[in-house]
Amino acid sequence: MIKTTLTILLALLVLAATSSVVFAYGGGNYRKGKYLFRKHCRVCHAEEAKGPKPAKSLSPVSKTMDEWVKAFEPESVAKYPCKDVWDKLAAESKGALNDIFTYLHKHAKDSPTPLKCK
Amino acid sequence: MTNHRTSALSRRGFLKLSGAAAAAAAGGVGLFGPPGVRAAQPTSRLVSKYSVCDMCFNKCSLIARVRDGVVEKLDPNPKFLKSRGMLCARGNAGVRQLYDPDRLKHPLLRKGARGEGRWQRLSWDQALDHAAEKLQAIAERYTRCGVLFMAGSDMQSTFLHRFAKVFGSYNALSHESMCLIAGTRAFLDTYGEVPIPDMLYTKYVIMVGANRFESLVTPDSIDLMTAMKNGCQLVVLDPRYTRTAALAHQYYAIRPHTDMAFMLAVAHVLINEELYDKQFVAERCYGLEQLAAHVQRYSPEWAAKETDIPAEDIRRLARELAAAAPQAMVYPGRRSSNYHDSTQIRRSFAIVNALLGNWDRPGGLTAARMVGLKGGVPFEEPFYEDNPDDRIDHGPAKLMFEEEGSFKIARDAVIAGKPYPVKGFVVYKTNPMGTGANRQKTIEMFNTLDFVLDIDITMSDTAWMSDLVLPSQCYLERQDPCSAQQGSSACACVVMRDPVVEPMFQAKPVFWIMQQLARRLKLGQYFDFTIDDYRKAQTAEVPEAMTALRRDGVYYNPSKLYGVYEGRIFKTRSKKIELFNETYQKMGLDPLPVYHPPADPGQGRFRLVVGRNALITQSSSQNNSLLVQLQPDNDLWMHPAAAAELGLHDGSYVMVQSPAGRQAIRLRITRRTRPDTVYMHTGFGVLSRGLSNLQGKGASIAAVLTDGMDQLTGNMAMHETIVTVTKGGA
Repeated sequence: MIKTTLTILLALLVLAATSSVVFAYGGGNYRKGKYLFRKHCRVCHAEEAKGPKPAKSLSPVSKTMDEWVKAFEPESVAKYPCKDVWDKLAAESKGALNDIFTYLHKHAKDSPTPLKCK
Repeated sequence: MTNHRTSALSRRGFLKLSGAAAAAAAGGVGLFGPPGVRAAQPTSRLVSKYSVCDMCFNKCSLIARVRDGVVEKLDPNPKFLKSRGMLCARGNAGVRQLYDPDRLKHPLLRKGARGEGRWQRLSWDQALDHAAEKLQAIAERYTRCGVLFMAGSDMQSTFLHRFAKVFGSYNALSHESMCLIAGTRAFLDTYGEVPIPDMLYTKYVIMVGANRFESLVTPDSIDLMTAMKNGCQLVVLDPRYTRTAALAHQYYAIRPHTDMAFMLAVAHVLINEELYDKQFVAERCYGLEQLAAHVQRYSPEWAAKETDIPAEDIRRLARELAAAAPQAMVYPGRRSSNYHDSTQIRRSFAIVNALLGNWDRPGGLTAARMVGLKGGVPFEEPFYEDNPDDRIDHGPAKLMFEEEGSFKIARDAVIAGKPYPVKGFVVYKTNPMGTGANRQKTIEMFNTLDFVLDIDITMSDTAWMSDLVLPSQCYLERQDPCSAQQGSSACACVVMRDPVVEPMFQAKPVFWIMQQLARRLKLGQYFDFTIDDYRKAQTAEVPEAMTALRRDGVYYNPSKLYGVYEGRIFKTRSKKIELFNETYQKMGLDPLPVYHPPADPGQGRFRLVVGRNALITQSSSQNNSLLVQLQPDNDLWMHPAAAAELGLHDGSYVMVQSPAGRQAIRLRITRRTRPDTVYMHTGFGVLSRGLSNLQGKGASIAAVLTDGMDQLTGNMAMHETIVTVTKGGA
């Protein structure tokens, strides 16, 4: 019994350790993500940006789905000049970054819904 | 061919009548128009003003000839290349839309039972206050997503969608889920964009399930005719002998719902006989190996049994197509609201085109050209925390377009009250009651709603069943935003509308209506601009456009037409044209089109197919007092052998019945349809008593069609309806 409990505990510890390494965004509220992206990111990532750190214009179709996954990895985020904004967003709202990721990934360049078709 | 009926009204007579519309209007306008519009005796010179036709979706630039504030005639704008300087019969008849006595004249509030036809006249303030109160009440009780919005193809539809967004409902539909979205999906998922056929320079066209010489699309209809004069061969596959079929070099009465079998067999021949463009496919396409393996089972001999097209003919057509390539194409088509697998059927069209290597080349499929218009006055969409997570139609169709939605799925969801209740419906310039398959279900949907607001020019069936009806302006009265148009070798251009006459009655543009509603709902800041402001924002990068528009009625962007993709990747996962679609595979969908044989109608039953001719725009043009003389009603086309077996006679009334409903209709016995297929024009058999010229005329397709859908996009599937036809019913 003790052995079984220890095995389960060990398995849970391994799982917890692995989870902290594996980076897994997705399944957020993309509609909220769109709103948050526009509110917090597009102020700088836009043509004629008026935010504090004007940068390259970004929209979902700026990257492929894989590129958005990479863009949200901690190693990538650590290098961004706007990392403070990321940290602030993460601190303020539990799912904010995930919502933004979900929005960008869902409408990426190579996604099924990259653009409006007319 | 038997019963090739012609009208007593000749083309010359029609043009004379449409030109004389002003005389009728001037004489008759006093009955329903505002004082001062009478112009029986011309007193001033004729003034010419540019506008844009709105009798169908093509948006042809035109010149209105106006005297004393009355439009005397509409002429084509010779500088408008997309229509090749022409205006069709419906375009000419547009004067009668302006001066239609049946136009809605003031806001109307339903007083009796839904559809009873008892109305109370309201002032605009009363009507807008009422609408705002209803929308607010629904938002508070059911969330803002409790209101569903739907707009047709119109230069001001963008304002209804804008209102939906700022109001806070992402349940907004276009009309496209009852039109072309399966085709759009198929080509987008193959090419990364939706190509435009370069008809003028093509040498060989296989046209399947499209009727381009009757169901007009500019410039395709006109350019195809010119191309044929220059030697282009046209092959038509259609269960019905259309006028396009009559003008084709080769015609096959293909068995309905077997188009994919034909295309896969063509791909089989192209690959097995190495007739495809090897260099193009190697460099620009992804998945040839998988496609080659996939089509081995789809030989012409196999396809012959499915399609009723001889195997040797399929081989010959494939070879002729390849011999003419790259100036050859399978015409992509437009309306794709046909079958449960329409996206995959259209994927097979896209794949054969890719094998021909006709992409981005003269006479093939071309990329969208740069027009230069921006999106208008920008706005930050608000977010409402209490809203549900997703659209009401989210889920059943894995590849539904968010921006277009699915009327079929949304209607089912409204009726079921799941995944959440929707109790409001705001409709602008589209008529789901008249065009949505299974009308009884649309009525059921309306009966579950607390508030239906319809904005239109006349009392359509949708308006007739609504709670509040608001009169919108005719296109000749309106100032509209700029509109971008694509026409392959004809143009990448911009058109716009300014009023050519003062608005009649109390009609208002939907822009004004949305502005007024927004102000009442404390959302006025999102509509705090004018149409001029909007146009200025649209043309910010092409400031020369406004000068050209005022001078010529059209602005052309001299952007590149061919070779646009040289050095450029495709916007797909593989960065190439996806013969094999990995995204589909990952989603558990068929990465290559897989053929499933259609259901056999069974003894004494028929497949019902629907369509239109050049006098009909879905359900919106039939009441026009000029067009109704040429197309007074519809009838049911049936092959003589089938009619003989049932003992039915030409001209007699029959009952056409499906699981969705039944309609009485006059029978036309004709060899122009297959023995297993019957056909009806769209747009008759109206519910509304506000359409004077259509009372008791013809039968409604919406009342008979069953409401299947394309499984991937939610596009209505209108050609899966199996019907019985019996004597009687008049």
